[in-house]
Amino acid sequence: MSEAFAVWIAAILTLMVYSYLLADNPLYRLAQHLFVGSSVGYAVVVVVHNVLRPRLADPLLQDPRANWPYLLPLLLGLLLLSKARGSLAWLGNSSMAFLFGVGAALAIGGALVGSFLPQIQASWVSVLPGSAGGSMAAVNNLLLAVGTVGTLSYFYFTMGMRKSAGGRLVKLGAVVGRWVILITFGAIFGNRVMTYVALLIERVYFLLGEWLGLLG
Amino acid sequence: MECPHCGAANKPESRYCGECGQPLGTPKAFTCPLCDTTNAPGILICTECGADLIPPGVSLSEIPLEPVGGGEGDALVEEPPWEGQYREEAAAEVREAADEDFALDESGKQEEPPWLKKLDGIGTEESPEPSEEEAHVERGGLPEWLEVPLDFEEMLSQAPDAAEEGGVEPGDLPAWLEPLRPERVEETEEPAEVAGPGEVTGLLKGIRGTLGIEPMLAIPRRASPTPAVAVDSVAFERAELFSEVVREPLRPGLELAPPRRAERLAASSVRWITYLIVAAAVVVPLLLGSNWSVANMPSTPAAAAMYGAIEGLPAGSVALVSHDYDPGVAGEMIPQARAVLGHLMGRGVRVVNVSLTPEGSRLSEQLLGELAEEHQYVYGQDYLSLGYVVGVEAGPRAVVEGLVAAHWSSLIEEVADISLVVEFAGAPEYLRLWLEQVQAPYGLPMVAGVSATADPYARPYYRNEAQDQLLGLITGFVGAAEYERLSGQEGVALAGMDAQSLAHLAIILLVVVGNVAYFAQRMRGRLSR
Repeated sequence: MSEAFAVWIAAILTLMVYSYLLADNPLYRLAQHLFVGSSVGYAVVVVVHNVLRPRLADPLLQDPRANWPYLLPLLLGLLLLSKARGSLAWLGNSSMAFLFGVGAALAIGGALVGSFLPQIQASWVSVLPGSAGGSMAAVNNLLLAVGTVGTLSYFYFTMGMRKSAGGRLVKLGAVVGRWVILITFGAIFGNRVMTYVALLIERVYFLLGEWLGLLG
Repeated sequence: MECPHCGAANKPESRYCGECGQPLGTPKAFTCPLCDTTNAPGILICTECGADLIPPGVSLSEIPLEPVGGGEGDALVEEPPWEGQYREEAAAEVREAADEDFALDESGKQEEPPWLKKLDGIGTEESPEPSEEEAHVERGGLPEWLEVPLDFEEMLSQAPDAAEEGGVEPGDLPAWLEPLRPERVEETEEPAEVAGPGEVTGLLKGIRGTLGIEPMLAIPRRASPTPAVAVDSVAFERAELFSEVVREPLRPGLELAPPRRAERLAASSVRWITYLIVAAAVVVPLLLGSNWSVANMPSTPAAAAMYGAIEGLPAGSVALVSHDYDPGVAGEMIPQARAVLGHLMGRGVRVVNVSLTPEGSRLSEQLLGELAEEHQYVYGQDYLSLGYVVGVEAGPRAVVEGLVAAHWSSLIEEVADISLVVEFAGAPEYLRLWLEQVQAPYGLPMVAGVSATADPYARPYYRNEAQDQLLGLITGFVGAAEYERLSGQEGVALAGMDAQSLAHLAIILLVVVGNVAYFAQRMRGRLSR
């Protein structure tokens, strides 16, 4: 019974969202507000029940002597609340500094070993069919090299573009880079359309199958 | 008034042409009522003495215009009615101020101003001629050694001659002071004549170079000249064209009329036809239950590699699965997660479930519960759900290191005991978090399922030349369908493949038709012109 009720609610909310196809209307707005409100409410509940209670409150209440170091994150977290009041905002600076310091250190270190260096290494490819592993692989590697250099040239703004031979070369590379960027944007846009079509199919499948029972 | 540029007739009080927008003249040039300086047209404060050139209360529109490019033969601009009066008033004010201070008395002598009268009587009393000694003292009351000798001027006049004759040798200075020795000036230039108009009234009459009447009127600063801007011919032509377009008056036939009912209906119809085509492309294959794509869909190497990576896991090994998506992309991600988790459980792999988004934890737990029941998995023994972990850099690291510290089921003694990391990323940043904070630092094998939107960002990590950061990759709804087919689990993704293919075809068709219509309209416009 409760599952059928949930299906009906979900189906009605889905139709309310699709009513935007007619025009902006109160039903669509209602569904939109319900979605935003429930998302925020759910996030708060999850944070309380999944983070604050089991990972902070319970250890402190069950064995305060052993778990006293948990007081430090609690204090830093409470100081963050002072950011809501302008005159007391400075109290939260140490918490922000801690967050940004740890975040930046992890992000820079991780980006270096996880993205930056491997991607540079992966761009160092052979364009000769013999060493690349076939003519198609060589063409693929050539496209990769030209696209990488061209895109970097497009963002190279500090050389006079017309005054020297090097500048003209960079300008030529920038033209190639612009086309590579445009093709990339096209691919991203196409994939986004694909995502929306998939979402439409999933919703139609739900409406026809679980709600109306028309699909076997 | 007739426009000098286009000849159009304008109202007498107009300052700009109503037809072409060009100015109908330049503002009159004024002569300063105080210093008689003739200022440039348009200047309202004297550039010489800072006096106001127009009386207060006179607006800019009351300043008469001179004809553009006026030369000989042009009619003189009439003097505005207030100008003569203003000049007389200003001159009278100056005279009055001067007369107050330096009025003549009855005998015709110049009367002293009040402040000068206070000095009367000082030094006017007659006194006996002082003796030489008294005079010596009175000259300043200084001690003798400080007094200037009487023949000092004579000595001073002879000094240069003595130097020239070689009678005076330049003094010896240490080397470090030598640069400070004053240089000898060969010729003394006569001071240039002081420029500027002479005073015409008062005590300073006839003296040149005196300061203006600053206490009364502030002298405005002159603006620094505008630096020359180098403009190439192309930019200049574009600016000219832009100027022409902006100044072009709206032609009578070009007013924007509100769309007619038929036009509104046509625009609305096109929109609804588009909706109907896409909806039909999605609904009809689902209702018919067709599976043409399932039989003809090629299997991509990335999906096959992901299947192979999971297929190679021994039973009882541990896979860490992260669901980092929200309801916005759940339509793509849930089918992927269902297929992959089903495959993992079918292989008997222990699963540790986690999510970096609050909504992802809820969605994945529901899915995990259904699959655990189907595969008879026991919570705590065969699978774990860690729930939501804050999705910042420290989150994934904390999960891995926390698992090791907790020694779950005595199976994870060290990080290397995690056989595979499976990431479901609705957005590329979550994939990067796991790659940068877990895969690269700990060297763990990793596969990923991503939304179609995140695919262009994830693709460079799949089996690149440097290292196998991602052993396998599935993308979007198609990736889920591929995985369902590879693992033999038919689900919503496979059922929706025909709908997706047909919807894509419909979109391509609409794009082509739209472009053809656009270019046809453009061609028709050119032909009609």
